Amino acid sequence: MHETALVASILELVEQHLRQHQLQKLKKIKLLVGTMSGASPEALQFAFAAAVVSTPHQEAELEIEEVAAEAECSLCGEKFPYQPGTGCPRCHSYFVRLTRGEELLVEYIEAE
Amino acid sequence: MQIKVVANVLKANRDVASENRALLKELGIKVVNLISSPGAGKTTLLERTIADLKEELPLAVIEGDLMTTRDGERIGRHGVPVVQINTGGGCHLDAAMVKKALEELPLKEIKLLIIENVGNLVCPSSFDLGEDEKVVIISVPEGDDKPAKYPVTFRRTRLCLLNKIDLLPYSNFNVDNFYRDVRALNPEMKVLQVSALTGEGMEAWYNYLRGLVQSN
Repeated sequence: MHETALVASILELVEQHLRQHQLQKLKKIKLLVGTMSGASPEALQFAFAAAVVSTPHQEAELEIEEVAAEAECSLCGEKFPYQPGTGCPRCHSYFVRLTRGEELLVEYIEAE
Repeated sequence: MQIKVVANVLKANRDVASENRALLKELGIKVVNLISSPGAGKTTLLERTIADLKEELPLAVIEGDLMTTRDGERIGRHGVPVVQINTGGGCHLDAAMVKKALEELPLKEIKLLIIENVGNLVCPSSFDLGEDEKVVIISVPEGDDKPAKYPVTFRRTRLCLLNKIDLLPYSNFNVDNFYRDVRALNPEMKVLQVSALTGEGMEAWYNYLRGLVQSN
């Protein structure tokens, strides 16, 4: 359950931006979470709710967009949706590079 | 108003990890981050490694543990510098914890630093500590399905130690299935079969560490 630590990092990042723009009330955080990032959206939501309760951010919404993994074959260059343990659909190589799906990004925040 | 952020959540950790990496590189110290489930035999493997290598390879250990100092005490008995980090229930070590631990180690006297992460196959792989290599340990009693169940960790490591191979005759662990699943996730992964209890296969692991320490 490292999502607790991730939420702490997210809130630090958010605080920095709130200060920088001299905003008080956080309304929303938009997060991108790749399916190969090692983080679980459900656990992030749970950790977030626990972290903001009784804080000024209690009303804020955490919106998570899951990013499906995509890979590129290192041998033939084929691009395809990645499922762990499956290889390139064209040449069957397992030498593949993830091009999407490892994201763990705060995309934007909404605040007043 | 909407504010574009587009920042990696793990950036703060990565920044500290980069500082650790730069410091350790400058001092010529190689760092291995050991990752496994609880009970895979990390501490036993480490004890045997220290006993066999400490004369030829000056090394130190950072021990991550949830609550106890037992592992740190076990390592300390072997006469090598050890710092115990208690995460107080936290499921992984992070770069800031390691940075603090580095202050307590005699860095000028060592060539190799082994970090024993908290027993967990999920979270530790997301937190860069400043290591040169992540090494994952799987033990025979855990079952041959571990790679398929923990794909993120297996994609992020380059060496796997399959430990407790002395138990293979008493288990239904299918070595072929294990290799097949490892290769499917990470064809560049090297697998070494070892038994930290009997010593079988350990020389290959020591050769790996010797090679790492001698590399640029």
